[in-house]
Amino acid sequence: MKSFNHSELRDFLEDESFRMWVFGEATPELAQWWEQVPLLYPEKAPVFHRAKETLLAIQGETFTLPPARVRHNIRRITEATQPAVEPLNPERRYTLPVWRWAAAAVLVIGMAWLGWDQYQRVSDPTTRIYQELTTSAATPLEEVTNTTSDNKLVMLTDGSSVLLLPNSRISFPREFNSHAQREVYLTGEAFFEVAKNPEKPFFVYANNIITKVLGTSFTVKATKDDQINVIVKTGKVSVFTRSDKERVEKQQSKQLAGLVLTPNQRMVFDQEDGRLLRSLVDSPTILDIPIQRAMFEFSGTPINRVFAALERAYGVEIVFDEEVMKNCFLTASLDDEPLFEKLSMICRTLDAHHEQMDGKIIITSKGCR
Amino acid sequence: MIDTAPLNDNPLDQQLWQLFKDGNHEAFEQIIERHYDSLFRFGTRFTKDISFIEDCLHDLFVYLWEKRLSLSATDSIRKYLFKSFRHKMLLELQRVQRRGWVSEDEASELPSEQNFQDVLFLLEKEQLTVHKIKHVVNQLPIRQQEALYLRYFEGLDVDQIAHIMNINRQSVSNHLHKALTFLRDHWEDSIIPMLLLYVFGPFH
Repeated sequence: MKSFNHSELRDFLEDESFRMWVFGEATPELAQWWEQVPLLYPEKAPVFHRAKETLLAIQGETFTLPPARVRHNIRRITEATQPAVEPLNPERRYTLPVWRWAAAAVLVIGMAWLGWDQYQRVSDPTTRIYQELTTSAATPLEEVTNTTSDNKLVMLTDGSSVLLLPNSRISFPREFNSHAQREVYLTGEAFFEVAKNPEKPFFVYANNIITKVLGTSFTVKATKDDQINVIVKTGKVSVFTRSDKERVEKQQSKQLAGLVLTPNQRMVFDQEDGRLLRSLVDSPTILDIPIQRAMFEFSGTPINRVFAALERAYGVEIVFDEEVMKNCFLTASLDDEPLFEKLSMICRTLDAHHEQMDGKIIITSKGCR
Repeated sequence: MIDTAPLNDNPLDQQLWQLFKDGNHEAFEQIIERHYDSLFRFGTRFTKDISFIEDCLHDLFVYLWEKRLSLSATDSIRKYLFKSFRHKMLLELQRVQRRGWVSEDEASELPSEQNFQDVLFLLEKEQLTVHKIKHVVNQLPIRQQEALYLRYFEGLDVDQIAHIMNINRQSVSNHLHKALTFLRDHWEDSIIPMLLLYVFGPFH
């Protein structure tokens, strides 16, 4: 698989694949290979371990920032260097800087002190509207607030999953099933994967806009400033304003109406003139929630890696017996299903079961042969 | 002689850099996104003051954007950024020390309130392994440590390291060679003090 005649410390250090393995960047195959080197070549084990420790010592106490903070910092830079807006081709030119500014604002709130944060909550229009909507809702709502610096997974009773970004709040009825429509209220930013149910459309209320979904994945961003963004990853959504006169009809129709968005399209609502502007997501770098870009393509992948990928994307802990499931491999292409559907599909393939307990996912399996 | 091809440098660097110089903001963003993490990490070698490093990076990128027309071409964006960032960091650290605000050591021990959670979060992740050989590496002259880091953590080649550290190629090779020799000769040291520490530890 790989030529191996390393004898000295330097031979190991100079080997890029060895370094990648030590720093956790190696492919599974490569990692597996390096892990068995001390067993295959016991005479080289001491220098092998020494090389590994040396590399870790060279890495030392250096560290990187949490991704949310990096995003915030990068936004600040792009904001500070954004070229002046030109009036040509107004729609496209206009939406781009607005988006960046809006994005920066979300994260700025996240960094703020608690006192300032509290003050913001009462004074900014998005939160005010959110509070109005949630207090006037007909049914008792459950609220989830994400005050951490990581994305938070929220699972709704209809099987949809929501990845709530830091400093965001979402409210939803405890039991979707007893309602004719599924309605949630958002302030901040969240990525939705909606369970398909054409009988019960899914609505996201954020600031003055309403996003209607029939089953898809998309992001809504409604922060303290005046712009609200909706970005579609898969499927179709329609967006309209709360003040929209035809709102009632649009909401009730089973078809989508209003401004329809398809994948890689973005909608920006400009509060000042109350217009909905549609544009393309012009660069994948703008999709900065990992799951928005994530593709879950597995081909004969060991199950622990499959679960690790899901854990990363959803920020949720998956508990399973590694020993029992060591012979389980998955070949599947998963995309915009909510987490629970993904798990159901995986479990069906492997004849396993999953349940949710204390915010963790527990997998039970008798193993695979 | 320690010498290999540069690792993980993008062959399209020259074009990307040219696009950025021509005022393409998307290209600029790509450059930032690609290099922010590793530059920040490199910064933590000089100080543990997170906001200080963040500010340096912010100023550096804003400066690069404003001066993009007068920047020279480069075959490796990483090399270019590491060099300018290192220069900037050292300059700013000197400036702070002259003003007598805070020393580098103090900065590393007293993260500002705002950063405290981040630091805790990061330390938890970093302290999972106790590196036996760490104190041997720490005995190396600071420039040797830096050369080791750039060579074996960042995977840069000798030419690039020379450029970044502003020394000649031969000096980089010497630093690396001396460092490795020292590490080889002092390997045993890294075991004995650990035992001493273990025996005498409770009395401190």
